[in-house]
Amino acid sequence: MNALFALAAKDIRLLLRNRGALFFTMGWPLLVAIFFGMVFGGDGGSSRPKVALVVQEPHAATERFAQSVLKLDTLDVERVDAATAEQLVRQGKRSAAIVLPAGFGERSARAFSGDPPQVELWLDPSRKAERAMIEGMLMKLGGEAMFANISDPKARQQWLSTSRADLDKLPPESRQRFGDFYTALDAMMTTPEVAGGSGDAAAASGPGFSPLTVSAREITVAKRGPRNGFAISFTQGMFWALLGALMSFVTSLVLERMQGTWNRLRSAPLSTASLLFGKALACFAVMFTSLLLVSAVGAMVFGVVPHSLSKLLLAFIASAFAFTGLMMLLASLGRTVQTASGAAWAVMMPLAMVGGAMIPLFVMPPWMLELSNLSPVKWAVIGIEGATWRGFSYAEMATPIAILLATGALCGLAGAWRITRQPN
Amino acid sequence: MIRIDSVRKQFGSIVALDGLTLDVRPGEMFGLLGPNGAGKSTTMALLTGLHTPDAGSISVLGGDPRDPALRARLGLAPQSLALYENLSGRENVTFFARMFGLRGARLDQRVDAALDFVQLVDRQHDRVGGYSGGMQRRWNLAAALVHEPELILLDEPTAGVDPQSRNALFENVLALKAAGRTIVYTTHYMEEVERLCDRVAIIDRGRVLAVDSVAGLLRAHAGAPVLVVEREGRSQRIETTDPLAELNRLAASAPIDGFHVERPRLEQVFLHLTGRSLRD
Repeated sequence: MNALFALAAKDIRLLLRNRGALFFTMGWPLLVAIFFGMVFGGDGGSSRPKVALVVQEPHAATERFAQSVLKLDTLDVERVDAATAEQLVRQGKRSAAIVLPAGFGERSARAFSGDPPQVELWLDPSRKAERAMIEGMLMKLGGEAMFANISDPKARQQWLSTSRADLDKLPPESRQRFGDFYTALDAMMTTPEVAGGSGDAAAASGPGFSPLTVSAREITVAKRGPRNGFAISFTQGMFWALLGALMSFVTSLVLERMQGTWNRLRSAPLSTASLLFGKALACFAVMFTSLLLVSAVGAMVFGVVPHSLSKLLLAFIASAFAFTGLMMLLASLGRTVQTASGAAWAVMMPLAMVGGAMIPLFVMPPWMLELSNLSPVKWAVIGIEGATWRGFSYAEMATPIAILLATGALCGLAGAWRITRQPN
Repeated sequence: MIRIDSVRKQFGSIVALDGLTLDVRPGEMFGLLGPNGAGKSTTMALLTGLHTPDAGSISVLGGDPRDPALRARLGLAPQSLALYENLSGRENVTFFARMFGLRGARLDQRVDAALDFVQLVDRQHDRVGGYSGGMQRRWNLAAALVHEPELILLDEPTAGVDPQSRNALFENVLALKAAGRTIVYTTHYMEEVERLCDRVAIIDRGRVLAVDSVAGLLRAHAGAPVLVVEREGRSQRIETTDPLAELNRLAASAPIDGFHVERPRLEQVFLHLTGRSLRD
């Protein structure tokens, strides 16, 4: 085991001292990811959540609230009908739909009686962060709407009139207190010091009071798309990281055999299988580290946050394993650096083109998608995207992971078998 | 120590070894002398288990060289510079020492000893790619010796080396010989064999043509020494087994202006055995 780790450490050290190889393994993938992310129009984590707005009744108060939602600069709001809103959320094209149901306007006209106005929020249950953010904004708007009712003399008179009419619905002991409160409030709001006040009335409305309530309706997203262009480009960058490491190790293995170090290693008390395993271990470690690096930059700088870290690590392990196996097979195809790297490029480029590393899978025509099933690159892309933005379950991850592991095992064994039988 | 019996090895249509038979005794320095393509490196590859013979048998240190445990007792300095150019000399030697199972204090101790032996302590942290060819050959030797092997296989260790570095390598090899190590040394330089080896096998086209000490080979195959006498402006060459007696006889008959004796060389042995020059 000591010798295996020494073999792997030697290869990693050699890679770190080879600036060109290091650049194509670590630097180039990031450049590809950032450049194409910008080309795809990605704007990263600073993007405003896109939401749909549905107004289900023609009411002045409802319309006022809708306009205030449309003016929010923290949300990208589009007003649509209910069916369209549901479809957009289900397709993942909108984070949520804010629905102002029938009765919203009428409830807004009442102060402390009856139920507060209710807003429905349609969204995928996994979008917990967006839900909290949108609910907070709606509460703020509800408070502002209430303050608008109080501060505008005409609206206030209408609001107080409706509220006083509702006093009969209150218990007798509360009726007098609320009546006195409405009179005092009306008198206070007519004084100039208060008439120009801020919209924090909701905060002053006392414990237990809410300017509106938000109820959620869960709509599971049937087909998610990437949240931004970087989600696609960083997956492609990860492929380039895998490819860079693969090419470095193909070259390194062929060079070992050309320069005689391979024979010296084989004269040591280690089996050829052990030597190849040491090489594979180093290759796997470099690939896995490169994937982590690209992923970390994507998450921290460009907002490409995986929906599941454990699934992403699983996809990384399987992808690195598959490409390590491919490395072994491709290294066995040539006896010189030129032939081996030529063969590696000739094999990897078509696999990349049909595998979604150059053309995103979701824009491929059906025939190309069928063809892409033959490419291990596709399954690496699917696995990584599944953990990043496709929201795959473990069951959905099983297929790409199994295919990648099988590819790695088969290619690795075939490559090792060929190398051990080649004369040196 | 080594027994190779009627070994045949073929690569495609090329017969590399054709019934090669050899014995190497413990503690001796054994030379394999032959032109390029004679089968020297193939023999080394068989001795280290890198190749398997098509026919015949090989025993090294009493066992099969394909056995990893046995290979731990061998040290190979390959003909090519089998070092990593982007690692320092010390890192290379340390790495290969680890491959032979050394670790901890023993590892450091043996690496220090190997560097000291090849006298490259001062340059130990320089990358191998920056060394001269001669220094690289010495690092190649250090990597072969670091685990204190019982049997050392040196495959053309002075190829491409300047005279000064060659002498340094000779001193290293002679020190190993003085320490009683068993060494197999391949070369196509006759002077190296004459200077270093106890016994020599002359091989050509995968076959052993003759095996003996240098003196024995010369006696058996190179003919007698040649006495060259200069007198009256003419040069006379006389082949004789007793040059001194012949010189006395000539001096008694007429004055001699000058003379020298040409001792037989392995070149003549090779010429005698193959009908062509070693350097053809």
